[in-house]
Amino acid sequence: MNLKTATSDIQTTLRDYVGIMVFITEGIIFILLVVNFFVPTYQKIVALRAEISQKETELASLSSYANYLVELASSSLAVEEEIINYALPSENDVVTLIVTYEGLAKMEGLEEVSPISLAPGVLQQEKEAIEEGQTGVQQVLFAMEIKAENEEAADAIIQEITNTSRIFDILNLSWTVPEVQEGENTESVDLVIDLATYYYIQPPNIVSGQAIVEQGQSQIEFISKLQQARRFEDLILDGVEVGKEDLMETTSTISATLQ
Amino acid sequence: MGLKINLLVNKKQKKRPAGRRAEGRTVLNVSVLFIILLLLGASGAYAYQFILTKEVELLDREIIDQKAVIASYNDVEERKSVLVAKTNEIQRIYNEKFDYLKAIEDAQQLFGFSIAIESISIEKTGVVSVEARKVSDITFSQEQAFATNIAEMNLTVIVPTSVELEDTIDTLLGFEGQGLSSVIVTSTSLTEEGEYAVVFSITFSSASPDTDQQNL
Repeated sequence: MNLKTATSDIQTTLRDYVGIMVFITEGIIFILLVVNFFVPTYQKIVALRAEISQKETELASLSSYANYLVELASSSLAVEEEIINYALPSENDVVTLIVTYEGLAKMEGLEEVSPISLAPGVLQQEKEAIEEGQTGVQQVLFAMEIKAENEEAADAIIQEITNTSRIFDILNLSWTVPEVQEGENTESVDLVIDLATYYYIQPPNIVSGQAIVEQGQSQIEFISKLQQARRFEDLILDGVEVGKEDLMETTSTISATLQ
Repeated sequence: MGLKINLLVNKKQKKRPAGRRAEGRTVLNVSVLFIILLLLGASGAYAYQFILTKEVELLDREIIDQKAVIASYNDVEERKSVLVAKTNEIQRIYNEKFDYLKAIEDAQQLFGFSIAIESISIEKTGVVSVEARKVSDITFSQEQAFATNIAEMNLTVIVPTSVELEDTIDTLLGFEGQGLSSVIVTSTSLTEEGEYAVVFSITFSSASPDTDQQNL
């Protein structure tokens, strides 16, 4: 009888506290779940969101750079190369040097200009520089002797020299007002200008990459200004005669004249 | 004693069935609700994590695509890098250019046309050598003098008499002003024509930046 009563008491007590036990069990499950699932998941989510943010930034940068390269390839690169390579050729380009010199010599108001005189071996210079392993900017020195009609003409030629597409850099300038002889121009000015022009030997391993290429975007304004600099091809180089007034003619005027 | 127990049991037995069922239902409902909430929370968290993972994968794919596009333009990248290097050099050359026209103008106007300049020689470093003949009393144009890109001027003044030589030296040595560092007499000599030449070394501290690059 006592055993039965005791069992009944235990059952009663269990019935009384079963709810609390269920809540405690659920609480433990909840805590375990929070510790083992929700906290790691939350941490993963935070990490993923940070990763997404970082990747979005990277993607935006890469997309912008890719678009810049596509645009560069399709439009401005060739133009930029043309301007920059004219100003600073990748080889000792004597042709543009002579064209620029002769173009300057044809300016109005100049009575006499000395013929271009390049130091012997100037064409050999590049080969020697490469053999010696030199890279970067190389200098070609020459001089220009000018007799200008007056001060204005002298000023104009100095101004023009500083604004040529092929870089002409004045290293030294001598301005002399000559002694006037009878019958001579009393306003003439003699100029002796020591000049340098440059060419560029490309280093074997030039560093390229996004940072360097993007640096070029800040140079666009300078390049567009450089584009306005003076060229003299039209003044110096005459059009090539094809010998035909009408290109559809079967014979040229030259051959017709020869016959 | 036994009676008491029986009474208590009976009392409880009479009261508990309805209350216990209600309590049981409450416990069950709360437990079910709790489990549902846990399941919902867990599913939501897992789903959100899954979406984020997929987004990362998508971004990875897009990054790989963009890198492939960039790699396909490798030659453009290299050509542009050369251009950037060259443009830097050209900019450096232009920045180092000296404004010769300004130096000539300054040299001519420095003494307010009281000397007639016969020759000017200018070096890129800003050293200017001037040979001039005195034509009237030497005056010093302060406005022109102190805003110049000339760093140093070696001025040779030719005068016809020794009295004018002394006067010229006194006048030039007396010049003072902001931007003018010093005036020194370097030498005096008698020329072949019987005239006097005095060489001054004038240094300026106000050498202004070059302006040739403005031409571009």
